[in-house]
Amino acid sequence: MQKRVLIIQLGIIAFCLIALTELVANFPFPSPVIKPFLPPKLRWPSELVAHWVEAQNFDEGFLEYFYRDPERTVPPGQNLVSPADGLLRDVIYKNDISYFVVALSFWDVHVVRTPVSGVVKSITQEGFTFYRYSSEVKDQVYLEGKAGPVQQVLTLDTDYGEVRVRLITSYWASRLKVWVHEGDRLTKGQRIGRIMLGSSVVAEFPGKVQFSVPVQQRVVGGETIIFNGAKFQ
Amino acid sequence: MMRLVWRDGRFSWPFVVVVVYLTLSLLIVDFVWRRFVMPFETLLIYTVVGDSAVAILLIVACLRFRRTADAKP
Repeated sequence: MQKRVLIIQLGIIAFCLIALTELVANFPFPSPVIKPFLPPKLRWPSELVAHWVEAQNFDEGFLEYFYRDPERTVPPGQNLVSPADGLLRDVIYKNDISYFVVALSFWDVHVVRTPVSGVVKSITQEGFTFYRYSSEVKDQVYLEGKAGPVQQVLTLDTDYGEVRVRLITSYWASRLKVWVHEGDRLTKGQRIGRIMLGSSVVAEFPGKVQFSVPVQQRVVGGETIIFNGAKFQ
Repeated sequence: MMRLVWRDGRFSWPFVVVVVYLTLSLLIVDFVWRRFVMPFETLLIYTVVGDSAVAILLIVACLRFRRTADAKP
């Protein structure tokens, strides 16, 4: 009887010691014991994810969360939807093109969707370049402040004219996947690819577009209506 | 003194309870600190209140333990 009690007690003390060791070993990041009870942003703090990006070694739990791909209810009618989940960082109008810049954080869904129905005209890749001076990015305003961007650009032939969706990531993450091919007919809100880790998605529309979403608002890819109407003007 | 930790070929239960209490309190403080945004002073007040309640329970438990131990032949 005494032996059984001792085994139970040793089990309890061993559990406590392991929990304390994990707490100390993982500090300042959360210990695995409390991780399941924390929301994603606190479970995997940005400093920790940034460290994983550098080391190219990711936690399996984080990857499972990161690769989630929830279904979206695409709104019917003549409108445009957001190409990605994230924060609308900027709306830029330059050289008769409207840029809709969505910034994705580590915890956003990274599946990119087409903002409008159309046919894929081309898919091009723009490689790694260091933009050291602001003059070098004057034509690509959405790249300001980004070091070593890697891009995949989808050009779509749509009823609104030529629309481009730009998937941008950093050289260190540099993993972009595009699932569609040239000539494919896409419906609004359809999945077109995925970006590995936080970066940006830029949708380019011809002419001056009055977007219905204010800057700094969160948008949901394939669901948030960013423009209502059949024509821009 | 040793009887508080080890007795009759096993650990004493109050010792095990103290170890569990210290571990849980550390984990809970860590969790609350991360999960709820609050000033450090507020967290400190909650911790002191929680610890006081547990300390009173421990004192009561120790008194009962001593009474039981003394009553043994």
